[in-house]
Amino acid sequence: MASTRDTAQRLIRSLPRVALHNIKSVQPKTRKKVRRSFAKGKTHGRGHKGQGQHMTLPRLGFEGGNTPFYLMIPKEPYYQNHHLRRQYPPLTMLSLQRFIDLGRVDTSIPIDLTQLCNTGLFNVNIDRKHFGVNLTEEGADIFAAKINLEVQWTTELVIAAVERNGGTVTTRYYDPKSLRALIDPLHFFKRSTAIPRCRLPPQDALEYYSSASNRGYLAKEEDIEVERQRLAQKYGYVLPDLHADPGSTMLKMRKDPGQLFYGLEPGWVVNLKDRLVLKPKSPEHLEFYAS
Amino acid sequence: MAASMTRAVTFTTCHCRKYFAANICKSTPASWTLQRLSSTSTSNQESDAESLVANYEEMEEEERIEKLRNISGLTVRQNRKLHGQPLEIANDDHKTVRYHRKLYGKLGSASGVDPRLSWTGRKKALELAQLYREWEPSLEERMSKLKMQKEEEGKKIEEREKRIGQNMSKMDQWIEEYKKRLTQKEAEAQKKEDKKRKILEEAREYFGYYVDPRDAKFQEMLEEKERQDKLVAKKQKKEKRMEKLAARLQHMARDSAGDKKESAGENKQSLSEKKEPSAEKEQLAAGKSDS
Repeated sequence: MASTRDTAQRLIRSLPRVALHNIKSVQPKTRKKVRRSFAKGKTHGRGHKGQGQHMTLPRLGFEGGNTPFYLMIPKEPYYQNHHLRRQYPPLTMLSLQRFIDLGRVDTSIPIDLTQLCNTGLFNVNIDRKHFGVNLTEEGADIFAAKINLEVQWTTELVIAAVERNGGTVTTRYYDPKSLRALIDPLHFFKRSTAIPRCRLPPQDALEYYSSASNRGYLAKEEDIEVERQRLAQKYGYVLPDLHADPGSTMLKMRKDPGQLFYGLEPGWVVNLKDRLVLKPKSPEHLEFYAS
Repeated sequence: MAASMTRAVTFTTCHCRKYFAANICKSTPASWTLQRLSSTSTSNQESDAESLVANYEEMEEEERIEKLRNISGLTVRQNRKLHGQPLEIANDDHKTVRYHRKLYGKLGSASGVDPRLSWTGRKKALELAQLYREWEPSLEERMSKLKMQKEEEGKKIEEREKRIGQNMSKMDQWIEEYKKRLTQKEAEAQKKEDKKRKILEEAREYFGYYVDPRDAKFQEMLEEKERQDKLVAKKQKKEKRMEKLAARLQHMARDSAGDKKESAGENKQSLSEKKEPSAEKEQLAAGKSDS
């Protein structure tokens, strides 16, 4: 008589290889549905009479006429003004390093929101009140790329990690209308609309974007230089000389506060089919796009 | 974008409406050919009429062959879409500026759409510029506002800290006072308790056993005692008054009897009996009697 082991081995040999077609998910989704067939009887499991039968059960939280609990104690202060708050979907430094290593972003040109969205690995949803990327600290210790980075929100450690490698960081605000053009320029240019001028940040974000310690785009260059030195001292690294760098022109590239794309100004129209850039000349339009 | 690709467009007029006049854009290639034909016919002399007719016939023939050649089964619209040709205006949406912009963005100059449609009209641009000027304060203004806000906040914090400092300096004293108040309260409570116990003891002596304070007998006793106390108090008061009156009468009698026969000692005694005056008053009285 064959041993259990032999039987098992024989069985395994006769079984097909594990492949996509013969594995299933750990927890298969089950859908519950009211079956209207005769097999389910005359009431289909919903009983006779009343709200159950007519599917008119009271709404969730309803207490039969009493003031419901959720209205009795309406104190959820952490949700206050949630509909007005700006959201910044996070992206870790680790992911950014991965994008760079995989060639999903080009480090020879400034990395801004457009580049990040063009990876297809990061997305910004304006309808969900997203206002750009929040670069988080995870993976800051292994970050090793010299880049000109433009993000919407970040922390001190991230700035230190980028600057230690000889790169530069700018935190930059874009209003939703500008964001729509930025996150998908191809789609925007196909609509053949003039590039809008980026508005200034709202009052509650003004402090962040005008602070040199956050590398805000509204801060003065001299202040930023001082802050760069201060950060190098704080984290204990030697700040690489930007001016001596062969790629210093790229690293020092900055957009104007109203500008969305490098080399393109507000008010211009890009036609990709004719490979044309159309510029307005009327004083009215010039004034409008300058304001 | 390279400078070679950039071409400027001069503006004469630019109207932005939802629906715009058909004369701005030449929508179909058929109408294009007709226009071209008409323009050539006006430029040419009548002698060229024959060649023109021949040309026209040739074109018709070409069209016929093309019709035979086209076995794709696509509709006219689908065919145009496939070959990147502008479409016929089929519905109201195709009359909008947005649609024409899209057409221009997709097909370029081949669409026959006026690229000036890409911008808002001059009037609208002026209006918008005015709105921005009215409703969006400049960066300098907002920065000064931010500075003021921060200063105000700082002042508030400073004031609070000052207040806390002042209060902290008084804290030991306040704690002492509080403790004193507490002991005083306790002492009062103790006094009350003692009094209650005393009454109960009295009641025990009266009845010979411990009485329930809620008992009617006890209450009666209390009332009785109160009455007695009152009577005693009244009696005492009356006696006192009588004494006072007697002393006064005596004093007056003595005064009227003559200043000669008066002993200072007696007078002094009567005065001390009447109401114990202070030592000074005594001396004064003695002085008076001496004189």
